[in-house]
Amino acid sequence: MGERRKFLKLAGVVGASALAGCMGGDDDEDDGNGTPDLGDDNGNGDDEPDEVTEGGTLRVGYEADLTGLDPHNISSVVSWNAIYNICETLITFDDGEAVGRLADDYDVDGTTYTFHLKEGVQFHDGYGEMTADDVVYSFERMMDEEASTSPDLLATVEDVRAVDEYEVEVELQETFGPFLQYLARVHWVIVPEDAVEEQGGNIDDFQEPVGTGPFAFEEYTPDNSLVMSAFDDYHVEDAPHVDEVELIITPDPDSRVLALQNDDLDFAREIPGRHAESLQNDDDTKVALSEATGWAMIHINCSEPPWDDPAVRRAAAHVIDRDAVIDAALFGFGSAGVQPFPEGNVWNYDLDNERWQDLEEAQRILEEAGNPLEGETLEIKVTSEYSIQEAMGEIIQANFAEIGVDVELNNQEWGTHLNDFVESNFGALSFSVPYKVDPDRHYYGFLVEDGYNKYNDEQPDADRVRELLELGRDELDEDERLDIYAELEGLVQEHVPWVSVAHTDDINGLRANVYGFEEWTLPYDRYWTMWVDE
Amino acid sequence: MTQVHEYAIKRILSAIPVLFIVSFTIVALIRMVPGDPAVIMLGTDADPEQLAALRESMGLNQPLYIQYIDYMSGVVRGDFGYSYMGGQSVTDAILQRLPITISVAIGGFIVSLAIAIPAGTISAVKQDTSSDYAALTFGLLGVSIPNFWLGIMLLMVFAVWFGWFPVTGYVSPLDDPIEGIRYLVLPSITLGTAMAAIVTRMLRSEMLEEIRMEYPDSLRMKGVSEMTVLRHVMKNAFIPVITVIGMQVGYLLGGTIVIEEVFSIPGMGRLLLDAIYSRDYMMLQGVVLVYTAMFIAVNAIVDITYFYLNPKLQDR
Repeated sequence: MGERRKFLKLAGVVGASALAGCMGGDDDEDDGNGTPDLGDDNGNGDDEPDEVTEGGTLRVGYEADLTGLDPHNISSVVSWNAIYNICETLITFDDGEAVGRLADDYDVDGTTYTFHLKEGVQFHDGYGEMTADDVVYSFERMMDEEASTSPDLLATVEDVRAVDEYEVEVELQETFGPFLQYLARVHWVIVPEDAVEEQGGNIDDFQEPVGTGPFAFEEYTPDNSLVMSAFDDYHVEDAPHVDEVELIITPDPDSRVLALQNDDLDFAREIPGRHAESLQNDDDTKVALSEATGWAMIHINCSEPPWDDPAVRRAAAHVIDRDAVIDAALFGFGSAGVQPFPEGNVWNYDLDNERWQDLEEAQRILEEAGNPLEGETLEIKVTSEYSIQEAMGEIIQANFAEIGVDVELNNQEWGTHLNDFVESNFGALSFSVPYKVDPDRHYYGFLVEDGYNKYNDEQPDADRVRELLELGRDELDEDERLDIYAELEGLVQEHVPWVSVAHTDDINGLRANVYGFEEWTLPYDRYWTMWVDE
Repeated sequence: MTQVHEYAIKRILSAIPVLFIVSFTIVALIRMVPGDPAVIMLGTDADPEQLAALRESMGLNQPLYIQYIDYMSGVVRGDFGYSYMGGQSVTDAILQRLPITISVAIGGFIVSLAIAIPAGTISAVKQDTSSDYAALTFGLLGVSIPNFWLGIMLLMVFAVWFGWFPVTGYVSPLDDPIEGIRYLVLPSITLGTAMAAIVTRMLRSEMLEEIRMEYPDSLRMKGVSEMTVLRHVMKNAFIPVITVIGMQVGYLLGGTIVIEEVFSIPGMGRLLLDAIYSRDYMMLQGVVLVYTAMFIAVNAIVDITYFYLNPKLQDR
């Protein structure tokens, strides 16, 4: 493995690409995923004013309260979002490419990554310039056993050291293919030691975060709001546009929509599909989609009869009507998918053994296996917490009935459901996860020995599956990794440790005078690109 | 009056063992519910060693009675522990939010009595007239309409269409009386209607019972004015109604949970829901304990009031 230097383009403010929610626009190619056509008056519509308005407040409606603000101990999407706009990581990802945030570029030499930091980057509140020491301090704090909310990466980092003021070396125990993708997660933000120590120093003490980001933390009132203000010394030109961002906690989705219509909010996250059309048709509001931000599947415990029979799993993959699930749960805002990554994504493969709905094929497979489901009632665990997870159960139940198989749904509260999944306490269980940049995170935990899906040694190709999981982690060459995961996904299609169902869209509601919302791959909002035309 | 005092002291002392029994039940029940706070915090990315370390640091590996003793020894010193999510002190969180929930409950209480007392009285005095039927119909609707639906409807009509009230949020009436009341109007109406309906029906039937007794007629024969007769009737009818109102205050407190979610009010109800979803045991124990204490306190006040208003009980 020779030394390679990677130059990173800076993830500054990309000119408003017409990516966000480009539905039915003039350059819209029909992707055949059936996403409803909401016209071209979207979050970045063609009617955008030529001049960006600077100043004002962006009021964002949040679906849940934050679960703490210490950047190195946050466990919910809402907290991630807040921190991502206040603190910054070394690198980030855009269109599947690593781009710089606090690092300009990096070298890789086997297990050693050297990051060259951007010079002159200031922390908020006069905590001075960000240097290599801050990176070392933040990484060590993140890797503290007590704290870690980014566990998989911990196991691989051996040492972090400052070479000089603007150069940091990260030494891994072994080569780890997805390392950069992990490093782009919000948990790996850089904070100043002085600020942390002033607030108590321990994990969870740092509840008034200080970072280098476009916005500085001002005030948080639990269950009510979080205010952040534009950072004058932000190291990226022309950002942010608004003077202030106020995150307003509005847990009820109907109340969020009403608040947007009433001009109490500029931007409402997580809009239910049933409201999308009315927001789009209202002159004062519009809709911006973030496409394929989630992956929904039915996980199968491969050691639990009758699911331990691969034939039963293969039949299930051919039974479910994926489009019906998307219509029922999401009003069409999503796309059917039989792989973890959506069509058009680099990690989505042309495979000739994909299992789409085909009831006759399902029946044929079951007959060939000697009708293992005769007289059986399949139990599938679902939860009402996420409509997609409930709909998958209901639809597959109806589809199985068409071929004479009884399915019983067990609907449970979310905490119980999550616990059952992690403890493999299920036969089949509907689940959904946010989009992950690297395939390692969509396969490893599920398929590793004694992983959640219990794909154990008696299952076909179990050894090869596990070999591929490790190869995917050991290999750094991107083309090689593409081949590794292609083979792995081929085996998944063959033996069906889970039934992949859909890629779900996030629907965002915006006031008509809000611009600059940009769709991107990571599950974080970027408020520094947005502005309000007053 | 000493009898009332004596009764009051007895009544308050009897609440203490109840609180202890309830607290143990809460601590045990919460831990029996499936769903592990460590799993919810770390999600599906965690490995078993990490989960074990987190459980250890939360003290979840200790036997239940040790966890209970640890918890209660803090509680009696006024320390309710720290939230698993964000590490806030539970005592601080409750002190921040209790006044908010109480202000919503008081709003609901005022609305319900402002509707129920006139409606119940008119309905009884004018039995079988159109006003009576109107009050009875309201009573039926008030009990049947779900709170969250009524809340959303009120928001649509009075906040979005007419723009008279804000859609979400909270301003303390103590900081800004006018704004504070504007924020409280719709939640109070939503919360108060169900209780208003129940109290209206109760007041009506109790008053009808009193009106049918002999004493109103004998008062009239003595030449007492109709207003004074009504006052006597109402005072007697109110004794059993007080008990119903007391029970309803308990439901009002429960009702705030739904109301706070719909109107995005940062009160105790929201704290409770968040704590349940995230299995934040410490927060959950603290909030449920405070709710229980409020419930017990309201019940005690009702019993003492009932004792005071009802001379028959005092002469035993």
